[in-house]
Amino acid sequence: MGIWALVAALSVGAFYAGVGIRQIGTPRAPKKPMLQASVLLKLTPESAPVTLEASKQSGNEDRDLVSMALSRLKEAYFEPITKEKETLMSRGAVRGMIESLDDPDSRFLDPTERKLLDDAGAGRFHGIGAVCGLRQEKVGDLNETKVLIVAPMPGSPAEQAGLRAGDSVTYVDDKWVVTHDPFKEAGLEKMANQVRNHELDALTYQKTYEAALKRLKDGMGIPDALDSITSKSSGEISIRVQRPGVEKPIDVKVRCRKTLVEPVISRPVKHAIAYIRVTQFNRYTPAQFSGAWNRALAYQAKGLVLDLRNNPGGLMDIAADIAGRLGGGGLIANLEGADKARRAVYEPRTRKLSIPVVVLVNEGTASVAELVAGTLRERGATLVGERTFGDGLVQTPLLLKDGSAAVVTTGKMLTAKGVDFNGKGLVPDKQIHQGGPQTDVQLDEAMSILQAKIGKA
Amino acid sequence: MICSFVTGFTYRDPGNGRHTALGGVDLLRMRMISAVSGGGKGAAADLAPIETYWNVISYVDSHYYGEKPKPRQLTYAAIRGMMGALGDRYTRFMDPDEYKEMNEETRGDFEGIGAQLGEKNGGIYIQKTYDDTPAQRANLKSQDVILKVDDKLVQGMEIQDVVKLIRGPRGTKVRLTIKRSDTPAPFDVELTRDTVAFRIVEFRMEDTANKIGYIALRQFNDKSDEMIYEALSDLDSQGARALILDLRNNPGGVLDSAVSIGSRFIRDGDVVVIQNKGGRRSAIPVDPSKHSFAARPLVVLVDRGTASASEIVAGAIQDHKAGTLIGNESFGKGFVQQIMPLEGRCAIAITTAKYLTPNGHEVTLSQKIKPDIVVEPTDEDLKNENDVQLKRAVQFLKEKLGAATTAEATPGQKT
Repeated sequence: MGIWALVAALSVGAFYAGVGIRQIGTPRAPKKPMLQASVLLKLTPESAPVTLEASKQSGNEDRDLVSMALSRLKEAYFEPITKEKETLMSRGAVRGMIESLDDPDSRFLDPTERKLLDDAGAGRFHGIGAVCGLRQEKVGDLNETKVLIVAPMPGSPAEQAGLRAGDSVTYVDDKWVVTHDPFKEAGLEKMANQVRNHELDALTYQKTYEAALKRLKDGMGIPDALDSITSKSSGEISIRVQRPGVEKPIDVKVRCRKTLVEPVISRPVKHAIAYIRVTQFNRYTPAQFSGAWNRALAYQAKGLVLDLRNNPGGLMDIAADIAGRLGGGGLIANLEGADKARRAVYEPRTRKLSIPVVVLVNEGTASVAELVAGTLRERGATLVGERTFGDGLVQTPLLLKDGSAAVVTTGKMLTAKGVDFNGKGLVPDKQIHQGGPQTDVQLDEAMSILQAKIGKA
Repeated sequence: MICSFVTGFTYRDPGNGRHTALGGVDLLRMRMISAVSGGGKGAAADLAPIETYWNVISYVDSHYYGEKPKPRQLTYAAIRGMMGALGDRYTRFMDPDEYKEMNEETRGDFEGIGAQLGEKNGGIYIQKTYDDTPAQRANLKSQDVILKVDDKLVQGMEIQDVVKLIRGPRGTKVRLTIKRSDTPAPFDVELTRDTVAFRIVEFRMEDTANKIGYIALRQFNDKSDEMIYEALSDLDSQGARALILDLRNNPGGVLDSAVSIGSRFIRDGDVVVIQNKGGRRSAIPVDPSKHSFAARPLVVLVDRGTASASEIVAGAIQDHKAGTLIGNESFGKGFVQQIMPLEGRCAIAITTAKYLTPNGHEVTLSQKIKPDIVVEPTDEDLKNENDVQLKRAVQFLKEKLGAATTAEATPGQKT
């Protein structure tokens, strides 16, 4: 599934809650955009991963180390180690291990965070009701971690406030979100040289240094910013975003609440063309899609616009199901797993839809939604809109019995023909930017294309 | 629910989900596999550390798509995280490098540049340089702010991590970017690391006219008591009439050492009260075998770096009125740790007891040892290395001795 909602325990390598900029000085290789996708691994038996037994031997020494540490602790610690403490310690161990992977997409979710993610997976969003993600970019000399609105969900406060897919958040509640190194931005290194060469006075340097320091101290760490945006259930927050193509930053006030999102939204058939929008691929999607499609058929639809704009993804098998209905069964995707071997993912449906399909996509179309778009294109559909988000990585959580989860990147999705859209996205066949809020030029284009196709007898 | 199929475990969640088939595609709910049984619906059960660690490390080993770290590294991370979850910063795991470093510290010497670092306003600065070290030879000064180490910005880093960066094998080089208050721009200093002898005890006759002796104790390790004895012996033979015991910037050490040294200055009663597991308190009395020298007027210098074992000694002396405390508030660490080596050259430090002063005061961050006379050095004092706290101690003892001399004119007690 796409990233439902990034929550505070995000172990973003470079940033910690608060002001830690420990790793800012160490440049990180620009990473692919980070979203989450949980996936059904329909692995064939021979690809079943190593079981516990097989890895026991080599891990024994390591396990003994942990065992020893724990038993010494139990013996000697000045306070009793209760069951509650053991649970906290277990979570700490998992958190430590996941963080040491240094993978921004892998993280530990405590029970509250897991619940939030589960909620989002079922269409229940909190905060501003948008799915957010992080993207590393090089802006001139600076390594910047952009906090992106990936997809404002329909009916959400984010959508109502006018936030769009691709907006990057720069301020939350008037606090600067620490997305890059302020010292580097202020050009302090260069200034120091100028002072040494007597080209600049020391006072200016000092003032600049102090201003950068203040910026850092008064700022908000990325995990806290994400937490504010995605998990509050009430209260108003003010957000400043930078929109691609728009020079001036945009300030909005958003009231946080719960947003319930229907996975499928459809409209009456017009000019024999059905319009079905899928907002997420979750467990409610197939039934609702079925309903919408049956209605469309009853109204003699001869073409379909499948709107996947601002669809942050979802469950892979659900996505496979929908793709199968529209494009027929068989090889629907490929999955590259931990061992880097590619495995085929099949969808058992036998019949395919024989009417033309246009898929609407934009930069908010992410993860399994991109997979569906890509695979349908390989089966004859046309893509209209803007380049998709570009996240093909898959994360799979290991559920722990206390309600927490260890989410780990477990693979990469590719389309049926093996197209790797991770980091690049898919470029639509017909690229059109969305116009103002009153007109839907992308939909208009989709309709024309379908009408032309239907017209051809 | 983020339903996901977690493979690698032969555990199946026994029928904990609705089975809804949809055109041959099973919805994930029923395929959800959790590491330990009963985990399906997120029923809140307790987690057992070893089992959880094992499940997760196996899972990462079999499923992680990225670059897998070595299992040993993951294990260290797990133990670190496990102990960190106790919320006690002194109970921690030390990997082989960290353990080695800790041993070096307690042993007394280490390889680095010979500077004592401090933290102020989020910045790391040099508090002092030791004699005859690369730092002193490079003319680094007290209050110099360290901006970068080998081009790495240290702003926001923990002080011990900065120390780690600066230390290194002797003969190797390190470059510090320094900001000095009276120099307009930061400048780089390149140093060659060396072995730095760390003297645990230093002593001298501070005021020869009035015979006021001075002993600085930097750490409480196995050798400390012996060295204090030697210092006291030497000063005694020089005719010292009063003593200054400097416990500033002494981060503590071994409990036994604190009891022995405390016993040297306290006549009777208890040195400290230890509260163990289960809340049991036991008092540790003064060791009379340590009463080798006559008592004399005593000042104990304390500051924010006076921690743990140092607070035990300072607190005991204060409670028994065996001396006067001068300086700033102490650190506030009333816990005793035990270091336990583990296999593979690692170790863990575990807080084994809390301690209280003889009068029953707990020592915590919110309840530190307060000096009897507060002397706060100004920035000017620090920059010019003007030790106002020591000066005040000397002045105090001079007055006390002056009063004593007058008192001796009349037949009276002699200690």
